[in-house]
Amino acid sequence: MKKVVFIVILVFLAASCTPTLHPPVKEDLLSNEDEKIIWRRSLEEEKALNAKVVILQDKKLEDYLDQIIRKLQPEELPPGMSFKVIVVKDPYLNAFAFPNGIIYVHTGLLARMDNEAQLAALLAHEMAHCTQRHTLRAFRSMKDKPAFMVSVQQTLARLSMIQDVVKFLGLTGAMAAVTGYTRELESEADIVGLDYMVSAGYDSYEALRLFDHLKSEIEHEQITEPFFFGTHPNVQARIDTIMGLLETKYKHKRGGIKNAELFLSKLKPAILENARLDLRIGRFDIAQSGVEKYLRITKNDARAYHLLGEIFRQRGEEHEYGKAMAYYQKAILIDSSYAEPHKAIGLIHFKAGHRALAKKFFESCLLLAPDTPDKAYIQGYIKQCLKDREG
Amino acid sequence: MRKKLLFVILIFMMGCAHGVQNGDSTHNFAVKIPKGWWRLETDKYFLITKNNPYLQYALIQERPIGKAFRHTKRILKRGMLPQESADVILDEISADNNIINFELIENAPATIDGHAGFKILFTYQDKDGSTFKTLYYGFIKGNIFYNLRYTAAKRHYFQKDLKTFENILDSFRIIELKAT
Repeated sequence: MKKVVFIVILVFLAASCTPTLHPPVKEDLLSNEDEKIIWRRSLEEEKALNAKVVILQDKKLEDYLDQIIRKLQPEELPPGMSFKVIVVKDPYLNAFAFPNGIIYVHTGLLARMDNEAQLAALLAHEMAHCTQRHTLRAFRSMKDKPAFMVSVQQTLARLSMIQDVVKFLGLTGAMAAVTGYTRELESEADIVGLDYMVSAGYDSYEALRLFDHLKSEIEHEQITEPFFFGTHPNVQARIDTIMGLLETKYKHKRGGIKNAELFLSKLKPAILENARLDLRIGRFDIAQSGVEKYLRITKNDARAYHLLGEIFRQRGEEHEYGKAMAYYQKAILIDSSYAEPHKAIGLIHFKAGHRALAKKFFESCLLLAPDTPDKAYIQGYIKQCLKDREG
Repeated sequence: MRKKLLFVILIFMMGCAHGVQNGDSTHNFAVKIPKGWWRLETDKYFLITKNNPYLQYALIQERPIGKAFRHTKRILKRGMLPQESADVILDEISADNNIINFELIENAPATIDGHAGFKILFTYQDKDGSTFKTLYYGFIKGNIFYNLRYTAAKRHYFQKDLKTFENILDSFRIIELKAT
């Protein structure tokens, strides 16, 4: 309710404040009353959001993202604005920026990218929303619509439809992440973002590949979640805009930085973590693609092979237990002190009625990890194996 | 949401008995309702509380296995081990955006009405920042997943009514299985 009140206040403030519809980038950001309110509100929402989401703590990744941001950002930033990227452990495809330059990117989105240039395309787009002050402009534009009250009603109705997301992300976050800005503002962010990308020396065609790549995945996987591209207006129109720019303005700017190897090496912990999250929500195929991508970067990782085994075992198809078993065995071969695959093999044998084998693997699991959190279950299985043998 | 729930409960309280077995239940189980607790019964929920659900409630559900969850695409399947069922439930709970700062305290096997199942104990915060503690028991019998959970405000209330919930749990009996 507070959020609805907030937007009503903003709308009415808009009716009485300065008539500037497109404030110049260099203008003092906090010079206007409505923008002060938006910034204050954003800070509150960010604080609340940080308490709700799980942030991926990875110093190397943070430094890497800071480097990309520094390459992309224009020489002159609006006063008070400072960019920072926060990676959220969330398998859903999303990214959004608060007006002060704090950009949130989900691991789900990062895990789908192929190289640094694609990440730069995403960050540059979000940065452009900030430098072009789209939040402020979106709110101010309300007052210029002919049917002012209809617009307010539509906004409120739209908010009530997405109230869960608004509650979670806050109002400005929800607008940036889910409902998106207007077609004009999204288009502007694409154009300005592309300019940042080219100025930083990135291969601008990767922006297009990012769009294509994600769009086809959305269609293929029939993903319906709130999403950076999917719910923003006229995705195809935006793809066409970028294509048009690449064929005209940036015609002679083919090539440039991609940094695929560096990107994947920095992102690999996020890729594996995201596969774990996808498994948790039962997106087995996506989780599998994530682990396989990770294993293309890091060949011999026991935890990744164990996770692959978990995907096949938890999918619950008995004909896939053989594959699961093979991955667990591989994990044990790489790291014989790793207890988890022992337990998993024990579970498969236990369910198949192979009590002696099950007992052997459960015992080796407890030997390797005597304080494993599911110790009580494993002890129960061993007891059952003994009982069945006696019986 | 909780206010709405409380309102519904207040309405139901008018006609609810307490301190009795739910013999008139439309569910496949019977449970003894502690004295002083009030019952809300629908097709979906069997919920009892002493003060109001925001302070403490016990919830008993029977759920067809295979029925989709809200937050995970994983489903419960016939023949799953209690630990595997617990993992699905934990995935469902921890993937819920309304559950903030989820912390698992215990995940262990348990026996409910003679059936092999699991118990999980966890804490979480809601969006208003209040902290709750939940003790959740579950087991699969046939094509039904039965679960009994007790949730209360972590401070003061959880411990205060835990013994009462344990009595509810002890009184739980499956009385009839619907054809599934």
